[in-house]
Amino acid sequence: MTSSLDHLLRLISRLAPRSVVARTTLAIFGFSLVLGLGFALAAANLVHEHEYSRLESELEQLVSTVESTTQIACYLNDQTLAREVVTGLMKTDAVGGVRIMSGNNVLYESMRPGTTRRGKRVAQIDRPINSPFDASRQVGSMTVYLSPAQLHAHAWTYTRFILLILAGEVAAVSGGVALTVFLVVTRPIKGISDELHRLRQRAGPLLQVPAGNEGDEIGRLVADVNSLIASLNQLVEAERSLRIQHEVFERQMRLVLEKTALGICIMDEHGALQSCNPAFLRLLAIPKLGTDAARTLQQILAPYAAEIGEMISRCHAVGKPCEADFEVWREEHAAVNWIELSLNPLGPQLLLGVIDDVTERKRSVAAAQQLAMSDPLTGLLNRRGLEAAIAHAFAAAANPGGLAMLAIDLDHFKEVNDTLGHEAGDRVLHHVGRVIAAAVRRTDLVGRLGGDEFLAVLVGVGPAQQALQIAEDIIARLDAPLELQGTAVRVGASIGIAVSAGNEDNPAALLRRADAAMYASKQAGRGRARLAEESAEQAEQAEEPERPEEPEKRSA
Amino acid sequence: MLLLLPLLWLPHAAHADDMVVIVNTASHVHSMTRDQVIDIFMGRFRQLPSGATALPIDVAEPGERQSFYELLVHKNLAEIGSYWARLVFSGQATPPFRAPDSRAALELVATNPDAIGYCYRSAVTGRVKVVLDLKP
Repeated sequence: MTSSLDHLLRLISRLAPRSVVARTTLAIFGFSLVLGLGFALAAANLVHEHEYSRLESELEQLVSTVESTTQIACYLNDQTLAREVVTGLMKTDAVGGVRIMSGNNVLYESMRPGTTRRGKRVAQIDRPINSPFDASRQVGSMTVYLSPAQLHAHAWTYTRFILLILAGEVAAVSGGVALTVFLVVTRPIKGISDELHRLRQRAGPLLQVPAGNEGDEIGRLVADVNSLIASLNQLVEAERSLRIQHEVFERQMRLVLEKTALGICIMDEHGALQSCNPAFLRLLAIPKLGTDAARTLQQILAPYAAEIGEMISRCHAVGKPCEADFEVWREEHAAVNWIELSLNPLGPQLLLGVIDDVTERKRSVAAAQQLAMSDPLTGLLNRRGLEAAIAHAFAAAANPGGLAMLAIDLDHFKEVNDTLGHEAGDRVLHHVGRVIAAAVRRTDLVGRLGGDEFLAVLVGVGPAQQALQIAEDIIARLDAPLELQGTAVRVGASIGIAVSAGNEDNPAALLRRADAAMYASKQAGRGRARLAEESAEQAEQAEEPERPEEPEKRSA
Repeated sequence: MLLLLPLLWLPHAAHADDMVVIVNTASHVHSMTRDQVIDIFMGRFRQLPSGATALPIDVAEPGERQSFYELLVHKNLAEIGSYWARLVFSGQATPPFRAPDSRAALELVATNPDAIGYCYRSAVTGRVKVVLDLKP
C-alpha cells in the first residue's frame, strides 16, 4: 500500500514539469477544473430543479386553460370531450402524458413512450376535477405527466451553457495565473539566478534588485543574498590576508631556522629525531638525518647516551626545560668541541632540542681560570692555583702517601733585589721558576707562593730519598751563578721537604711541615735540603720559634 | 351577446321569486336533492330516483329559464348555451326538451308521469307535485 503510494508520488514528481510557471499553471488549472466541475454539477442539479418547477408551473397554467372542458367531460363521462382535451394537451412538448379519470374509471389516457418508466421519478400534476355546477362536488381527476426527455433536454441545454462559461473561465484564469506567475515571480527570479551564475566568475559586485521588486519578498531575497555575498567576500579577504601573513611569518621562521647558529631539532619522547635545521647537522657533524627512523639523539651522541636518555625522560616527565653541556670530539678539526644541549617539552609526545656551540665560551672560561690560577711573573701557578691543584691531586691520588711537598726559599734574593733593582729581581724569579720546572717531571706541580717562596709538589713520588735527590738537584742548579747586567749573581736556595704520611690527608698540614723543614734548613746554614719530621706535632713546634729567624736570611 | 347580458338580467330581477321543481302527481318520486335535479337537467343522468327514465322539460321563455338555472347552478343562459353547444359534437348528452312557455311546460308535467319540470312557486297547481324548492 505505502510502496504503491510512493510509486505514484514518484511518478507524479517525474511527470511534473520543471518550470515554476508550468507547475503553478497546471496546479491552478487542475484546481479550477475540479472546482468548476463541482460547480457545474451543483449548477446542473439546480438547473434541473429550476427547469422542473418552471415546466411544472407551465403545465399548471396549461391545465387551468382546459379545466372547464375537462370538468364537463368528467361530469358527463364524455369520452369524446376527454379525448379532445387530452389530444390538445399532448400537442405541448413538455407534456409526457395525460390521464383523465371519471370517478374510478379512466375516461381517456395518452402517454408518450418513456414517460412512466419504472423506478424513475416522473414529475406529474394531479388535479381534482369538480362538477362544473358545484365546486364542492368532485366528479373526476386529471393527471398530467411532464415529459422527462423534454425536461432533460432543457436542463442539459442550460447546463451546457454553464459548462461552456466555466470552461472559458478556467482557461482564462489559468492563462492569467501563468502570465502573472511568469511576470511577477519567475522572470525576476530567473534574472537573479542568471546574475548569480555570472557572479560566480567575478567576485565583488552584488545583485541588482529587479525593477518593481524593491519592497517585496524578491527584493528581500536579493538583499539577503547580497549581505551573504558581502560577508563571504569579507571572510575570503580576511582568510587571504591571514594566509599571506602566515606565509610571511613561516618564511621568516624558516629563514631564522636555516640561518641561526643554534642547532634545532624536534624529537619524540624516545629521542628519535624527526626534523632538524642545517646548524644541527653541522654542529653534530652528521651529513643528514637520513631515513632511518630509529636514529636517535642518543645514537648520535653515543658517549652520553645514558645521560641524554635520562635528560629526555626527566624533561618529558617534569614538563620543564633542562640543559647540560657535553664535550664532543670533532674529527675534521681534530679538536674538542663543547655543546650545550637544552630540551624543551613541545607537545604531548614531542621535545624541542636546541644545541649551542659553547666551545669558545668554555675556552675563555678556561683561560680566565688559568689566568686566575697562575703567576704572571714566572708562568707558574700562584698560591690559589697551587691550592686548587693540590686539593685536586690529593683527591685524585689513591694513596696520599705518594705526595711530596718541596718548600723552596731563595737564600739571597733580597740582596739582588736591593742592589740590582726590581726588574733584575723579576728576572731572577723567572729564572728560578724555569729551573725548578725543569728539575721536576711534567706531571708535578710547581708554583710561587709569593715573594721568593716557591713550592713544588711531586706526585706519585717513590721513597722520600727520591724527593730529597730532586731537591738537591734544584739547589745545585740555583747555586750556579747567573749573569745579570754584567754581574754574576748567585741566589741559592733552602728546601724543606714533607712527604705525606699514610694517615695524613690534609694539604695544609703537609705544607706547614714542609715550611718548617725549610726554616730548619735555613737555620742549619742555607743552601741545603732537609726532610721534615714524620710527626705533625713536631712540625708545629718547630714552626713557631723559627719564624723570627727571617732577618738572618737577609744578612746572609 | 355580452352586451345583451344586462338586458337579460332585468327580467330576472322582476321575478325575484322562489322556483320549484315539479313532477307528475302520479310519480313515485316525492322529493329530490339539488344534485339529482342538476344531473338530470344538465344531461348527466336521465333517471329518476324511482328508476324511471326522466323527461326534463325546459321553458323557452328566457326570464323563467334564466331564473331557474341561476337558482340551480348559478349560471346565466349564455353559459348554459355554451355548455350544451360544446356537447353537440360528442352527442353524449342532449339538452332537455324545451316547452314554448311555462304553461305548456306545466301541462307536459301534469300529463306525463316521467316528466320533470320547473315553475315559479306562485304558478304551482294541484296537478303537479313539488319535489324541490329552489330558494335564491
